[in-house]
This record gives sequence, structure tokens and C-alpha cells, in this order.
Amino acid sequence: MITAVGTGLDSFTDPESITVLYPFAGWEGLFVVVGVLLWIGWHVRQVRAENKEYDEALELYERVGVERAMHFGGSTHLVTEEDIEVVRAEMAEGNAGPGPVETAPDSDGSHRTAGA
Amino acid sequence: MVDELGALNVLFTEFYYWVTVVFMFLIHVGFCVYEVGSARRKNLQHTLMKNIMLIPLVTVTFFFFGWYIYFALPNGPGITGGIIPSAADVAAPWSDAMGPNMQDRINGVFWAAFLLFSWTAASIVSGTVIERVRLGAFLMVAVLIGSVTWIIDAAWGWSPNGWMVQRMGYHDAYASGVIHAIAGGAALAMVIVLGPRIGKFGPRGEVRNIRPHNVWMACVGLLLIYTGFWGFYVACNIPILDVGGESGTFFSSTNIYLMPTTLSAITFNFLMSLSGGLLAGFIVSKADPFWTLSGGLAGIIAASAGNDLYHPVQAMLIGAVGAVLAYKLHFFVERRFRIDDAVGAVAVHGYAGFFGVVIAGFMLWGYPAAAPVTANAAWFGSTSEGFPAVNPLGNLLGAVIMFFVLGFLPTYGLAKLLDRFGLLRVPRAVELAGLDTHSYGNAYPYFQTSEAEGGFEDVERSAAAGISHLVAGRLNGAEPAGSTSREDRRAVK
Repeated sequence: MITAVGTGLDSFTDPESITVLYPFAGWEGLFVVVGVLLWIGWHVRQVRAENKEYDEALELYERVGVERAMHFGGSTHLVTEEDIEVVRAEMAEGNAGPGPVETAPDSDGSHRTAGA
Repeated sequence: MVDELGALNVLFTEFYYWVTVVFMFLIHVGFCVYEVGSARRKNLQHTLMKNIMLIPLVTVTFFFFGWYIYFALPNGPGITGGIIPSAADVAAPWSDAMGPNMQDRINGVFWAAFLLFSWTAASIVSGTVIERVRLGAFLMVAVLIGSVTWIIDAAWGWSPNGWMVQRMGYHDAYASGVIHAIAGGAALAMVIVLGPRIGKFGPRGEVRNIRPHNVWMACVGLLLIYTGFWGFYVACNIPILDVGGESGTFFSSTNIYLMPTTLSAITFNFLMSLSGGLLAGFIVSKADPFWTLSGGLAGIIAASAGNDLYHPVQAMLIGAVGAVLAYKLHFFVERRFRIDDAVGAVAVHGYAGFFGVVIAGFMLWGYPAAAPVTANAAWFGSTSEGFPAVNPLGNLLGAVIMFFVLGFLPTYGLAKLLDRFGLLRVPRAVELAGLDTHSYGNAYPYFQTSEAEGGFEDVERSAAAGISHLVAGRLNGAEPAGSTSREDRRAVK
């Protein structure tokens, strides 16, 4: 009979003598070090990602104007990626300047900005 | 476990705490619903994710060090002794008790019960700071509150051996101070450093009401919080313990201090304090749904410190006073100090919790707080049997420690540190456009609406017209005080 290689227990026949159930017992300190590093790394990554996100947002808002960004994503209408892409395209073509461009009211009485 | 009765006791206790943990999950569901309902449409997903992501971060840090703190620091250290060495055997993250273990069936479920309290403490702060805090900053603060400061206060004042219990006779059975006052103090610190949302206060200091985007959703969130709170009460008890002492064997439930109470007692008092808060909240707020339900929550919180022992009518009356205090103080502080607490959490949790601890000191004056570690060593009086006695001064000082020393100060320090690096608040233009706008997009893509956000459109338009982010801060009288983001600072330079 070949005895299998094991990572922990190989029998449950004497439960009173069993303590830990998990594999690789004795390496708990290493598990904790890895976990703590991942936790701290998560915070660092989040701060970096957030900074990048806001830099990109401000770059866009600077080009289209904050008030226009509000029309697309703020108080009046919420933005979609398509809305933003329309603004980007308009900016690239030189058609849209900063500030809102009002159109006729929608059927529900609301106003949509150009490109929405 | 070979003795059947003993095994039943252990397995029942294991199951008991497990059930409370599942119930308490509803607190967090409630907070998510309540905060998202309270936010404006442009901030919904950011608000949701802020509350969701505190779950894993507080969980892993509570595993790494929060649970150890509870067992290691009941003595201060330095007040009634040093760090307790045996804490590492039970709660150090590398201990074999901190994992599946056939010889220990309680540690995991007890850890989880406390962990859910940790989520709650952090989540209370979450609602206060919606619509302008950075996610990354909030999550660091959440770890501080959820895995460090609140669990220090639990070690001190929510453990039978805690120095506040043993020396001061501190009594706070269902956490008016231990969870709510500390979280309220932390929330106050955050909003002071963070500053109000753009346009919350007008150029002449007038207060503008930023209405929830969905009031009934916020109210359903509060109802879910009530439901989870019930589970929280049960989790604060030890289900079966021999409390007979010298008079012989007598099995009972106990509170967290191992002093006798019953599930019936806390069921009476939970419901009566909730009712007192709802009745008073309804009247004082003139039937406003949000504040009526918040009044119910404030009612439970105000009575919680003594709800193991109060008469139900006492619980009802204390709950009613707590609700009125929370409502009145919220609007007074907002008006007088221009503090923008978006959901009233500082008032409902902080002020009502503080009041609850103080009033319990009077109501339960002379009751035994816990079995003494050293007989007659209490500073403010002992019972005839040498137990530290509950008293007004001990609970008043305890409330100050909870709200200010452990709640306000550490969070203020961390918030100031984050503010120093411009990492606390989002850029002004992002706040105006909405925190979802660039990151997430429209939360309601199939709804087209034209109404202004809480009657706010004019204010925000004028603010937006006055700035590009290059000249942040010139908002025609609507300038937000408080923290400025690194992006806005860079633009000003």
C-alpha cells in the first residue's frame, strides 16, 4: 500500500485527539504575513487608482466645463459612457465649447444638453 | 465532547451566536439601503461601494489584530495591569484557535459577533460623510474605528474584567456608548475636518436642506437596521451560564458582564424603547418619515445601556427623550456650527448614545457592574458584596471616554493626516458633477428626470459656473469649508 502525501490530517477516527482541521498547520505566521501585506497593498492601490481616476475626470471636466459635466452626470441628468464619448467626439471636432448647450425640452419637460 | 448535556450546551451556544451573526448582517444591509436612499442620484454607487468595501477591510483587520486587542487590553494597559499574555493563545491571528479547531467551537462565532459590531461602528460614520469623502480615505478611517478604537473601548468597558467596569462601575449592556457614542464621536470628527457638502450652507449661513433621493428607501433601510439591531441585542448576551454563585447552581442568560438578565427582558425593552423613540420622533419631527424612523433608532440607542435591567416603561420614556434630544441637537449643531452631518448619525448614534450611558448611571445606581477582580477596588463605590457598583459619575466619565477620547480624537487625527496630503475629500468639480459621474455612470440609466437635486440646481449651477477646477473655491458664497483635495491644491498652485 502506498501512503499518500498529506497536507494535514489523514484520519478522523479519533476526533477527541484532533485539534486544528486546516492544512499546512504550523505555517500560520506566514499566512498572516501574506495577508497583512495584501491588506496594506490594497489600500495603496486604492489611493493610486483614485488619484488617477480624479485626474482623468478633471481633465475631462476642464475641457467640457464643470457645468456641462453636471448636465451629463450631475444634478440635471446622469451621465453614461456614451454621453461622455459624444462630448469627447465633439471636442475633437471642435464643435463643443465649455458650458451647457440647451435643446428643446424632452417630452417629459426635461432639458437635455446637446449630444445627449 | 463525550457528555451529551455538556455537548448540547456547547453546540447550542455555537449555533446561538451563529444565528445572531446572520441577523446582524441585516444591520449592514440596512445601512447600505439607508445611505443610498439618502444620497442624491449622482452619488449612489460611490455611497454603496463605500459601505460595501468596509466589510472585507474591517473583517481582515479584525482577524489580524482587532480580536487580539479585545483580549489583550482590558487593563488599559497601565491602569489595572499590563497586556494580558494569554490573549495571544486565543486571539493572535497565528493562534490555532483562530481557525477550524475541533477543540474550540466558540471562538469563531464569538469573533464574528464582535466583527459585526465592528462593521456597524464603521458604517455609522459612513453615512455622515457621504457625497464628498474619498473612498480610500474613508476605508482607512473604517479600519481605525472598526478594528482599533471601538474594540479598545470594548476591552475597557464591555468586558467583565475591563478597567472601566472594575474601577468605574461602567455599565453599558447593549452598547449605547461602546458602539454608538464612539462612532458618533468619530463621525463628528470626520465631518469637522471634511467640511460640508458644496452648497449646504448659503452665503449668509442659512442651512439648505439636501433631500434624500428616495425617502422611503432610506426608511426601509432604517427598518432593516432595527431588525439587525434585535440580533445585536441577542449577540450581546451569554445564552447559558451558571450564575448561582454561593447560593448554588442557577442557569441563566447573562449580559456581556456575566451579570444575569433574560432574553425576555431585552425583548420587552428593545420594543418599548423603539416605540418610545418612534412616538417622540413622530411628534418632534412633525411626522417626517426619515426622522420618525431615526427617532426609533435613537430611542433604542438611548435605552440600550440599561435595557438588560430597565422596566419596559422606563425604556420607553428614555427612548422618547433620546429621540427628542437627537432631533433637536442635530438641527441646533447644524445651524450653530455649520456642521453637515448628511444623515444625522452624529445625533442619532453619538448624542443619543452619550445620553443613554449617562442616564443608565443614574437609573442603575448601586447595581453590581461585574464580579470583582479585586474586591472593593472600585473608585466610585462598591456593593455590599464588594462588586463595583454602577454609578452616575462612572458612567458620565465613561461616556466622555467613549465619545471624545476614543471616538473623536483618534479619528480627528487620522482625518487631519489624510487632509494634509489632500486625500480626504474629492475635488470640487467631481463633487459637483457627482461622485458616480466619471467612475460609474448613471445609476438609473432608463430614467430621465428634470427635477433639481433636492432643490439644489441653482446653487450647483452657480457654483459650477464660478469654477473650473483650476480656480477651486470661488463658488459665489457657496464655498465649502473643510478639506481640499490634492488635485484642487495643485490646480490653485
